[in-house]
Amino acid sequence: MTTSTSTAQIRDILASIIGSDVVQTTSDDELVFQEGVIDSMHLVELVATLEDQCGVTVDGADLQPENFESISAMAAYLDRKSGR
Amino acid sequence: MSVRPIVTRRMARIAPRSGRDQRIDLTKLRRVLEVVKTDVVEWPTTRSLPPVKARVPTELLRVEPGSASQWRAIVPARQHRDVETFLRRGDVGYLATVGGEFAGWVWMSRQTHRDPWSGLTIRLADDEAYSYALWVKEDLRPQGIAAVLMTAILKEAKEAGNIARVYGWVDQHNRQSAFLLRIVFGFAHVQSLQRLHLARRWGGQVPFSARPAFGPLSRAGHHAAEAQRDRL
Repeated sequence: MTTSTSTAQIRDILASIIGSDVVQTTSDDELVFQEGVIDSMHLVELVATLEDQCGVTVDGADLQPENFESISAMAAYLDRKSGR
Repeated sequence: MSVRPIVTRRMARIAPRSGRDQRIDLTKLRRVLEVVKTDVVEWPTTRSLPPVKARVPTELLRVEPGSASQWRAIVPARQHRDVETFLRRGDVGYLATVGGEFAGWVWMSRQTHRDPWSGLTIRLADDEAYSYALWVKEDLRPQGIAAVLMTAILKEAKEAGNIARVYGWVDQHNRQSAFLLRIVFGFAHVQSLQRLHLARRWGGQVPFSARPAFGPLSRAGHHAAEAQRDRL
């Protein structure tokens, strides 16, 4: 999947929240909730940082599991959201 | 001779105030009376449950009508009446304990009733349930205990065999809960409404604020006889 919001950017933010060792062993397409990589508390931190860095606002209509289920899904969602 | 000004309480109330004082009063008023935007969400029991794990060792106790009164030793005495009310209605709950201490709870009802805290009435069809009162002790947040409780109650609904969907509600400003319900568990939005919240304790739905009109907060919903007939 080709995205403008790089998965590396999301990985960097995730690493600061859950630790780089966990992020290194997680693939871009791994289902992060299903696999227990992150939980809702991590997601709140992640989304707040992404909103700051990418200038988007995650609103109620965007709260779909499909938008956040993996690192690549998050990158694709942010691209759609920012109109890239 | 000094003359002490006489200011009655009534005079003090009507005395002109500076803009700052008025702002302070408005802030106080908002604390007493809030209008909160709230979403009603639903979870189809056909969905799978994500694996969840609390960051602190958490034990769960299932409570149902007629179950042993073990919960009395866990739940603070001031909340015993709440539990008794829930059980009289036939509701099922899960209590979380951490280190033997009460850490939180969640409840599920199959009965249409008015939730006294939110003031909302979620109208249920025969194959529906309503999860409510998800709460975790403040000093134990966020440790994943809410996710563990929610998983337990949704698993209960899933395994009941006669529940098609579980409703819940979440205030739009409560991002933590919205993310938990909608992204982690996959609850879908069904209705939005505004509710009045009085003194952060009592509340009620603002009349005609539910959108769309069809849903668990409205007269027409899956609970309505016509809707049930349409589905057959």
